[in-house]
Amino acid sequence: MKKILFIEDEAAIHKTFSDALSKEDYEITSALDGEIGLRLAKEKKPDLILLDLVLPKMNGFEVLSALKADEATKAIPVIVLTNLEQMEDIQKAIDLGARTYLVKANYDLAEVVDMVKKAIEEA
Amino acid sequence: MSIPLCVAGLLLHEAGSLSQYTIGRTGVQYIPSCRSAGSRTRSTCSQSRRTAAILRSELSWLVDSSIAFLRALGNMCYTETMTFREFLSKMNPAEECRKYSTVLWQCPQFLFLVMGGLIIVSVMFSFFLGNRYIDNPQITLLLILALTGVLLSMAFIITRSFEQLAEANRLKTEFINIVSHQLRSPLTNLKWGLDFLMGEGAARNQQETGYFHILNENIGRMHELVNDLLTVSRVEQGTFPFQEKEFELQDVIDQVLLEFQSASQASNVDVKIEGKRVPKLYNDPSLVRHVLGNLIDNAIRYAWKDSEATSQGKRERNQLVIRLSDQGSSVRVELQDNGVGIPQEDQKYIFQKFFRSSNAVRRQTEGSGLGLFIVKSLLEKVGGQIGFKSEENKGSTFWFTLPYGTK
Repeated sequence: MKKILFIEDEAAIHKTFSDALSKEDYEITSALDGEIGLRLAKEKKPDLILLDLVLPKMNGFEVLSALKADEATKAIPVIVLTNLEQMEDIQKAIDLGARTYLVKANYDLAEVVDMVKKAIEEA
Repeated sequence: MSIPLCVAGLLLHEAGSLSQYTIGRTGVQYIPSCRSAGSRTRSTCSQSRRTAAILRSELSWLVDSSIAFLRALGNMCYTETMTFREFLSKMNPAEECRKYSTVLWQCPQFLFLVMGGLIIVSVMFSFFLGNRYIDNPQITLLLILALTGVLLSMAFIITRSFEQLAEANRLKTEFINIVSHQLRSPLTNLKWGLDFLMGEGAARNQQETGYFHILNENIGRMHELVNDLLTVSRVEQGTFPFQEKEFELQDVIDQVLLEFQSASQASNVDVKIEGKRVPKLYNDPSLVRHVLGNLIDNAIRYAWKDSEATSQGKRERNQLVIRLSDQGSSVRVELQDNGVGIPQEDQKYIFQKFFRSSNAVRRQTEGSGLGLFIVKSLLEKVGGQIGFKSEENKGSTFWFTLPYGTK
């Protein structure tokens, strides 16, 4: 069973997302802040990480660079899923090693779910 | 904003020239009296002449710099065409101050009237005194000093009131930015939740489906408004991310038309493109998409609905013609429709933020009144221009130009 780690501080999004993916055979783990997210990434070794950028305790950029700095988590593909859409933020996330950068508000749930499925099949 | 500045420049210039004239006269008339004076008074006399000379040079500096100031403002003062009535209404402090909702003494229009009055009075007073005490340069000196003091303190007050206005404007932009960012997260939650509920496999009755559609449509509208507000604040803060690259205008037009295909069909609008292919552009294609999308959207929104009758009885089909023409260093795109047009009295306001034409309200067309404002601001940032001509009940033609740009 493929594992997804979703690091996002909004509980509502977690719920919608796991419901939307409930038909698929994925194990979805939720983390509500950056620190927990990073710890779970190391413990669970997920196949895909979905990462918000605005997070309590440790922001998404910090989580991303910590993930990429650690040999154990370096290879896990990261999809950034956020509402920040300034060019600097996008560039920074891509430079830090994010595979895809999605601005939440610009996509429907179905589109995001499709992208996640595709990414996890490739992983 | 520019009008008070222009008026200030002119007043400053007038005050300077008048004082220069006064001191000039004093100096000139003083010279013969120096020659005829006795040896004891001669030294005081020449001292005074020197003072007068210094004053003259100081004043000519004031006049010169006010001229320079006026020149710098030149563009603003003279390109902004304004009828006399508009000028007068701008100078109506009561009304304008109500608009800014500031305290009277902080309101620029009021300040300018007071300041103008004070400057005129003080200049006339000093001119009068200067003429009267013509033999005594010290008094003239004092007068000039007093006048300078008045002018300086006035300048300080104006600067402060403008500073406050500028600061208020900055805060507003920042506020919009923060609010729209904060609004986006809950909106996304709502939208995705609804997407899930409306998704495949969920069995619902017709009534529920109806409500879901209403919810979805309204969330979409809020989302659009928040996006527009964000764009406005970015354009105003100068942080809009322009990404330039080479592209074919025709391709972008085709894409946008495809996007609006269903909407134009639903409103019975025939779209056609005229004009030859133009050279490739080096600019921001997403900006062009935004501009075109907005203008096409307007043309569709303000097309005649089938249920609407015109005075002529039967009317032609709704049409939208897009014309491209090469203008040397820029391309001109024209969008001509035969829709409802813009009422004459609304025409001068349509590029203003949040302005909505009276027929938009009448026709219950949704919108925030930000579209054309954004389009104009974006085009101006990349060196383009926009304009239109329109006749109510006949249709509108919007045009914009875009420089080809270089890599």
